[in-house]
Amino acid sequence: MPAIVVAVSVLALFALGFIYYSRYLAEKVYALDPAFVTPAHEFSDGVDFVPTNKHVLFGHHFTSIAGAAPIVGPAIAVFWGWVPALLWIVIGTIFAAGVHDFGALAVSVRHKAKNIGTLTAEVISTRSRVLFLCIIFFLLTLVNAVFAVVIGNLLVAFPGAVIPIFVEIPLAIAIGQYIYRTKSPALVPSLVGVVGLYFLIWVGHHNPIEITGFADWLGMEPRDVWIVIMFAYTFIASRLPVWLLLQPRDYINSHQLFIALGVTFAGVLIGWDTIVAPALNDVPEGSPSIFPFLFITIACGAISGFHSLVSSGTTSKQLDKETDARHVGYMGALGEGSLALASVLAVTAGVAATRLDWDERYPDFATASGGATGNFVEGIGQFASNLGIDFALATVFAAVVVVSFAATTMDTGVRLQRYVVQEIAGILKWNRLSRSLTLAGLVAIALPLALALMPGEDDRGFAFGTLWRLFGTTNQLTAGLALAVVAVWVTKRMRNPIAILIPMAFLLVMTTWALFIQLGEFWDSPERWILVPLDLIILALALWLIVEAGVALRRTVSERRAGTLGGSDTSGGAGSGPGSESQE
Amino acid sequence: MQAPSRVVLIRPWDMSDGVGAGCCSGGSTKGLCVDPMHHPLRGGTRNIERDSWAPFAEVYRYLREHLPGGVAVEIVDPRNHLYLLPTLVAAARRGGGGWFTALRAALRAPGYAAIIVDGVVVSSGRVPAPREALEAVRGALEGASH
Repeated sequence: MPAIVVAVSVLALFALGFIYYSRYLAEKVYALDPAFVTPAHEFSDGVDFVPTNKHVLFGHHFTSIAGAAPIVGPAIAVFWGWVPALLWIVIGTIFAAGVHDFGALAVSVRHKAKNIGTLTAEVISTRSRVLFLCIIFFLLTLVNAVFAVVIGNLLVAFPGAVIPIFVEIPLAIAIGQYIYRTKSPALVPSLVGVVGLYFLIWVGHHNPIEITGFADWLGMEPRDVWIVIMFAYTFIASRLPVWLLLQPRDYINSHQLFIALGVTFAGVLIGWDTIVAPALNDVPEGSPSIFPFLFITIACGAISGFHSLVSSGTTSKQLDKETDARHVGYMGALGEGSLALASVLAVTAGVAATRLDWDERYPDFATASGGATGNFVEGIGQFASNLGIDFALATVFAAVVVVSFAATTMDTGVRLQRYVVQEIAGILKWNRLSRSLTLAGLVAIALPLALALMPGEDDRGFAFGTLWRLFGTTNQLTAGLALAVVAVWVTKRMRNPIAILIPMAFLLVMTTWALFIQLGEFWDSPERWILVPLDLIILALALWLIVEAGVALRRTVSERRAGTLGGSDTSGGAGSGPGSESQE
Repeated sequence: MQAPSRVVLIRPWDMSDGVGAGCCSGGSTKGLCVDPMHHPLRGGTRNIERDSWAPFAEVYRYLREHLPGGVAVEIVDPRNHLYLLPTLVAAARRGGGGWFTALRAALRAPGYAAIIVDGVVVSSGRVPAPREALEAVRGALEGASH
């Protein structure tokens, strides 16, 4: 089937989802009120709380949620066939991610724009705040581990990307310094940065840097050397002010995101590539089963718990009208789904010309997961070559896009993990740890570094596939937690929470099921025993979440039946604000 | 009917929100900051990373307070080119320039802490005092109405 037909069909379904389902959610489930005074107006301070045009806010929200994760998950999951992967992306985006991102935004707006961690304590129970912190700690640990492996794999497979990736750092700092000192507009210098980066891609393509000799001298695998270098870099980078490196690189990244999306869809349109991957793959015996693993392998791109942090942390403080939540929250989820769609097309139509070629890239789960980002990169290279760009050069371009995103994610991930470590240390009264940036930073990188360097059955994909599944599981748990908060809130407002309960129950079943299966796998494998405690902790968190959510829902339903909820659905409106539902 | 006037404040470079790290970053430090109750209005501690934002925030609040309700005042992140470019080009075109002139004006407009009234830059390069900003905006609005 031509990839363009699939692309147009999926985008059409997304449009229908926005037109009909998001309207149902807005009117019947979340009961949005255009006259409700949002926190952006209530607390308008020009810093955090700023009423913002919905188109402006959508741009900000989308660039905040779009990253490397919706690329990696689908690139692995086509192992089970492109139809189930695409079905989960479409159904998950429309009926789960949209509900989740939109719901987290709506509930936060009605609670003074508090973030999902605080809302968990208020809406479910105070114990849940600790649950939230624990889930986030493991989620960030796994994020940093998997992205370090992604970067290591790509720098080994595409050595032409080494020069642009590492010279991009001083380039971004130079651009940042130029804009900062001259106080000039950022667009032209950042576009110059993109041009400079593309020149470096050309230089890197002709001067690939391989570190096999150096790695041999150290007695390590080249991938592991890159992983250590990346963690050393993020430890230092995460201590720099955000304006010095992170933000100028973000300017370059945001241009790259749109250029990469444009190249992908234009290449698909012009090249008319055909999907050669099987609709439903006959996977080898012993592979992870499609249920439940497909639904945790594609986390971002179908539903991602991290989006609730963006929705409730940043976006809810800037929503001009409550009704804008539909445009920003639901549409943001569709944008993320479109990235996942691009990934599926790249690894099913772009990367291979025949079914035989494709089978060689996806013979088993370990190879499929280890080679996923490489396959994506080559797929985008193929789409770019449809536009007349040299294939090898285009693959370096695509590798640089993915590594840039992954490196920025790691940079922020380590920074955030340091905050979480300090906060947990504060709760435990470990004052030295809670006050020392260096110590907290070292703790933040120690566990993910150990996980990323964990030996596997081969040097390519075993460890990554395993870690990715754990990452997906934890990310879906965060989504389950956010959906539980939204479900309790909707129930309190005397609305039907079924649209939230179904994806929540589905996610919790899939994650706990996967955790139980993985526990058995790790237990039986002498090489993976180290993951047993990690799996057990995440499983305990999942069961804890199910109990907390169940108790909170039961309590709310009882109160609703007894009529003791205090009519929380009646407030809002022009006269609302402090003292009304936003304080429910 | 004439379109309502729009005042765009370009968030200064060192106040740029969000880091483009993707969904796994939580959007920004605000998404997952140490103390979610940091906001002074909630009695929490301030986030020191954003202490330097106060002067710009004051200009924004002052303009919102003193400009008539029909004038839209919004803060836009300098990296939000997808919104800024078409908006500023359209404003410059309404001002009577050709396409090339409009594009050049749009590219130059979003300077550090720029204040742009209907596509015309009235202040840029520094954060003005609130009263000074208001006078500049009023001047531009009055100039446009004559």
